Amino acid sequence: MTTVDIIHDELRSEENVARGPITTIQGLVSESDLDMLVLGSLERILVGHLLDQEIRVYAPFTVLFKYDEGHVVAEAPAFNEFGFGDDHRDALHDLQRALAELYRELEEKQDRLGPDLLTTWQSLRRCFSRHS
Amino acid sequence: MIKRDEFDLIVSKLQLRTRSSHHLLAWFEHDGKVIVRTRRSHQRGGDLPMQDCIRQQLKLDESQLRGLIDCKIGRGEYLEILRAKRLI
Repeated sequence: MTTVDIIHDELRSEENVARGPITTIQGLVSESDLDMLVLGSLERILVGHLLDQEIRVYAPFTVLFKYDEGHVVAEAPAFNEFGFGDDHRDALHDLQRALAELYRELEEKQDRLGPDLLTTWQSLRRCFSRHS
Repeated sequence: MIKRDEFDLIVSKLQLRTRSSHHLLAWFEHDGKVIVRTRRSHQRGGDLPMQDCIRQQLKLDESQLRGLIDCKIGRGEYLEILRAKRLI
């Protein structure tokens, strides 16, 4: 199993990495390199971007890939959220959009969440924040 | 696989609140609290992928999800399932 960091291009520079919360880098790749990675048996990655202009990733989160009925499923177990697609890239993008939606939904409803979703919201806040 | 119509049946049966964005978002409320949430894509008809994902988000096992779809479990029974899991 290979673990790599997927960091969006704008965060890739050494300066930004040193300034940010990421302290252990096992391999910096840009999203454009994802196609190369999926040729192997990629099962787990760390993701550092949501492809969202309003919500930034403060701490990278783990994404697991699996196959289900001919689709690729990307799972973020920390948030009980999933994305799917025809390939790893599509599944990851779907997950990233879903996480941004989930952040907005729970942020809006944060004062009236049940225990399970409150835990999910707290996990989201540890990893994501609004761009200032 | 769960079909789109079956997902929509669950939404109706459990009286889930929904909102349309990039996906159709659905959440279950009880006594003013948002307890669980799930979603489906906007595809037209057919099978939805990620049945297990939807099931997990609704906090159901496979037989409970099937029971919901087959009209053997309603909102009342679902509330009891959530209470047993200490989610309410």
